[in-house]
Amino acid sequence: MDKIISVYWFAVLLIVAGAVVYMVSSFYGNPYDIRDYETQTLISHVAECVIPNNYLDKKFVSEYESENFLSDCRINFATESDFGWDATGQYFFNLKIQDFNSGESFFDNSFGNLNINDLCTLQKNEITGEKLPFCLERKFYSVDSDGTQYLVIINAAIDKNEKNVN
Amino acid sequence: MKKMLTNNRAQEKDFSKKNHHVDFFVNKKAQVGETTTWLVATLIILFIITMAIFSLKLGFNPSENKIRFSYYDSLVQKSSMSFLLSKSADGQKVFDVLRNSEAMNPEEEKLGSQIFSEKKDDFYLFITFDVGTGILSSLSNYLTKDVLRGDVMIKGFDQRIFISENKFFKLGLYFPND
Repeated sequence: MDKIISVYWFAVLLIVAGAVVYMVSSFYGNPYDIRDYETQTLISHVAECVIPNNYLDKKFVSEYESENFLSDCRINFATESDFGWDATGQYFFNLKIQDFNSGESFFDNSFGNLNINDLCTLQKNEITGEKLPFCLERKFYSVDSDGTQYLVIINAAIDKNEKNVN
Repeated sequence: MKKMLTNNRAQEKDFSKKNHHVDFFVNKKAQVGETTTWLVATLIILFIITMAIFSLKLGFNPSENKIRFSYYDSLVQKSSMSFLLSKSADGQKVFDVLRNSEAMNPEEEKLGSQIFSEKKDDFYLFITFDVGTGILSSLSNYLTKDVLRGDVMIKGFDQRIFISENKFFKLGLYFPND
């Protein structure tokens, strides 16, 4: 009888342990897609750099060397070396600053991995897929200290699908 | 004599049998109580585990495994500030015009509509020109909550931008119903 009870106890233990392992692995075994939040953070950072104190920094709409943009705005595209990310680049953004009324463009430059933008274009053309990058476009209004009105458009995209999508 | 011995042996055997019988029943009773407890406990454990796994399966779709954040839109804030810092036709800042007037001028209203007409796939943003008096609210206006629009309760927020202590205009950011 003692043997039967021991086996019974062992079976209960196995059932509980098995269920806990199953639930934990189901919950944490799938990646969380945080690229939405990452992209918003990237866009906010670029916006904060272009409009530091409520007014748009006029240097970006005059003669500005776009090569200095990433260092001026303290943007670093470095990623971990997993899946060869460091070699290909996982980030992209395009910044457009144009006149609010006429649409005349003062600044239109892209940074990061341009191939990601091509995949975003595919998505805009309603081509869907599981392993596509996350793309986001935001527009907002701004003025400079002289009162000139601008429309700022930021297109940002993050690939990193290996760690965010199943 | 021989018969007596045989009877004694039979009695001993019978006594031993009886004693064994008694011991067995005493042990069995104790085990029945414990076993019944754990049998019920096992059923409860199995029920809880099944429900947990079932609810996990129901409410968890790996393809939609995204973290949902409370919505805080810094770009809306930037647009709002820029709107207030814009200059009107007479060279005054919109902020000053609004502070000194009782209602929104058509010119500012038009500019506001142009700025805040952004319509996204996943949310709607628009400005409602409720310039008027109001009680200063300590609510965090940027966090998503249930908002009554007309007769319909939807998710979103009303952002009140105070121009003076008791004057504000209102921005609305609303999500479509799930």
